[in-house]
Amino acid sequence: MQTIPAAPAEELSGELVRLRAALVEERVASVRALARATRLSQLVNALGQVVDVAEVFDRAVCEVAELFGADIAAVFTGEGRLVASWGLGDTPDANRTPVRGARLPSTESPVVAGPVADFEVPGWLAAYQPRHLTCGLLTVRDESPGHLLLARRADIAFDNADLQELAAVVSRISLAVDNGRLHRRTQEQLRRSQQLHEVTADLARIEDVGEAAQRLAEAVVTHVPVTGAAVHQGDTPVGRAGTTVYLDRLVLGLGGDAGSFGTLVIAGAPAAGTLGRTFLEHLAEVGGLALEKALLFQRMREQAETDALTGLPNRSLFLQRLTTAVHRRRTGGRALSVLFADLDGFKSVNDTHGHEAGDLLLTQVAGRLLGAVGDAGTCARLGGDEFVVLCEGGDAQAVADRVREVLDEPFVLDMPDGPLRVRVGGSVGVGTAAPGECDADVLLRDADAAMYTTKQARKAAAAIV
Amino acid sequence: MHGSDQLGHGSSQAADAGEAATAAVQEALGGRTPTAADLVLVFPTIDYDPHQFFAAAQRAAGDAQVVGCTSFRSFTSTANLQRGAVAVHLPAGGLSFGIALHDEIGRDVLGAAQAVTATARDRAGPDAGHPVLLMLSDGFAGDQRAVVRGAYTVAGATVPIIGGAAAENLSMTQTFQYAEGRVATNGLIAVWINSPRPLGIGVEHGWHAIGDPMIVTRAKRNIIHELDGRPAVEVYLSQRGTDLPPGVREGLWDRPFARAALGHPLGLADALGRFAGRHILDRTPDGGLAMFGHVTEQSVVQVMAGDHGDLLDAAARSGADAAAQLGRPARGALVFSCAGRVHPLGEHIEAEAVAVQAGTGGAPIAGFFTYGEFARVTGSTGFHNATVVTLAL
Repeated sequence: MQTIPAAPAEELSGELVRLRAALVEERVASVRALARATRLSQLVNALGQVVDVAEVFDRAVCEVAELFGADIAAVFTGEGRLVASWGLGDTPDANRTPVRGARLPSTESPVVAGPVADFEVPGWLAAYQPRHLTCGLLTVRDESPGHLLLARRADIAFDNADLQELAAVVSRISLAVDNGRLHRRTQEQLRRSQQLHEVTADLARIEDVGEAAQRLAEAVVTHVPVTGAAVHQGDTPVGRAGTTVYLDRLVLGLGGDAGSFGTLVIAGAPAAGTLGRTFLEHLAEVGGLALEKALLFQRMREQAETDALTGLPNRSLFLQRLTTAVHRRRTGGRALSVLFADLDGFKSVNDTHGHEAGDLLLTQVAGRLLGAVGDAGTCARLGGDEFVVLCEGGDAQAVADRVREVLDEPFVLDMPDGPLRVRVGGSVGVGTAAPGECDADVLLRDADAAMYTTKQARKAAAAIV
Repeated sequence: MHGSDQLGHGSSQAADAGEAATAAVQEALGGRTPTAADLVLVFPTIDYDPHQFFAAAQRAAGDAQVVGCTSFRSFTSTANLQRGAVAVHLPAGGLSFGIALHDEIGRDVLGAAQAVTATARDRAGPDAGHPVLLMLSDGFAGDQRAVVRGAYTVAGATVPIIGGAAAENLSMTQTFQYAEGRVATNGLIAVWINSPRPLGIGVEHGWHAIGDPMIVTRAKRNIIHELDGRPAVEVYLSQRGTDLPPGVREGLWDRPFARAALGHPLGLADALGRFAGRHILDRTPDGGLAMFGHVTEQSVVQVMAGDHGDLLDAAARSGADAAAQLGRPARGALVFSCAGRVHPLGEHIEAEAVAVQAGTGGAPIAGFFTYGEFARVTGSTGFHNATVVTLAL
């Protein structure tokens, strides 16, 4: 039987110590490896809580410095401007320029590291007495928004494992920056969309063309923003905001494909392709639709209130204005009278020469009425051959006399088979509201009655002649 | 009678707050008349009325500036008090001190730390070349890492940060801080020290890792819910293995700041393979571990162990490391030791201060047992549990 010689006790003890030390070293190595492996996860967690690009940098410098045992972390833009730092204290220094030298990160070597002597260290950084530096290039969609600098003041070099993990870290920071930019753009688009919605809702409720044009011009100046905006209906300015100096004009069509309403003229417009320009174009599109709607509404309103044949206000509009005038009169307004005019020979013209001649006659009567009344009152056609004039202040009787005179003059109708000369004449009655108590129906009835009396008297006189 | 620039310390176990403060400060002064440039630090246990205590300390300190906070225990080279007060007289001796107190930290720990640091720096006067920042915080102020982060953003990488979180008797109610003549209960104190000579800082804990490294897979604030994807308490106990004898395991969580867990804190591993201790305070109903300090998800942790010998050796190293940085004999040292070390040290508790003092080469030392220690020398982290932090002067 072979026996193994016993080792001396002290030899065994030494071996035990060595094995224990090796075991401890192995455990430290495994913990170190695990701690390093989780650094990126911790950074991802931290960066996942922020979206703003400036916040990403601020958070990153703190987290990366702590995770990599660095005293200083800093992010510089591609132009060399310091945008975030950790460990520099709060003393402001505008001259914090990046590290320079041959050993800088590039797209081929995105992360570099070495003792401080390997770099050209600017004075501000040298004051912190760094011993080891590492730089990582940030890359977003083939562009570099800058680089990350880490510095250790202790004599502990950044090793290969550090560099590999730092490469992943700068990649993650770059991704966060990209996400932040996308988020900012999305937020801006959402904000613009909300503004467009609000402006659209505001414009859509406006029925007056002038008001809509003014609001559109103001919205453009407020929300785009531009230095000035003017809305033109055809060639006529109908709304304006901001500057009146237009050194750089941008003209956008309003309404329809060809700018059927008019144009939006802009001073200081954002450059093409920017979010602001896109928003401006959307505003012009929305504004054009709103202006067309207001214009249509204005035309419908005019049609509803206008006598289609003569262009005078119709019965509906006349009664509205009479009611308003009566209210003014009751509350101390000027003297109020209604002239009621009726053509004496209209039926005869109509029956003898046809409706076309009757229509031509009514049109000419309207023209003569407007000429005779001028600014002294409002002319309207109630229907058939009945016309009225609303007079506030002034001498209503004198107006009535002028009306009668122009109606008594002969009319020349431009008929298809040649000019037709007719004489119809008109009877005019005046109703005048008493001070204080007055009523629109009573006033109109009084004028009608006075006209009837006059008509009877004219018939009697004609019979005598 | 102390030497003219020597750190002086005193202690008292008087039951009356005024008597205790007066006696401790007078002993620390050792017959010297303090000047307005001197600093007096006081560390009472929670047993005194804080207003009476600090007012008496301020009167006894004369013209000197006074700062202080409550402690779990307080100690000097010659006294180690479960109940009582310790005072330290730090003659200016070329140093200048700037002091600031933030009364109500609330949730903005970082902002408060920035504010007190900037104010204290301004009050300390011109930079003399070797500044150090001493922070005393409320131990219940939330994430104490933010104290260091906030101070660091103002002070920068060239200024070491040390200090401790105010403590009490494990009732987990409130702590007190004192500075600028005011008592605060959720306060933060900064003492900016401008020094023409290097000051030394030592940070050691003495714990070693046992079991396997684990990843914190779910955590929020100071609660670790899961380790390696399983309930944290279950994983922690499995890592403890056979060191929990029958009868102890069942009663492990009977009281806050679980006694049996004090000897086995968790260690947070860093990328260099070092561990920063985190004591376990309690367990949560869902099987999580309530920690003394915040823990980040994806951190790597391991259960730590250490006997009194390990802890005392570390204390001595803390003192020695700090003193070695001076390049001259220390005229004294301030020490911040974790309350979580008291139970594991057991009957050897008084030996810790002795070990620190021995490490410094026999300098007078004084300090208190904290609810967390601050020590940042290199790197940018600096909140610890379970350590002994020494500031050699």
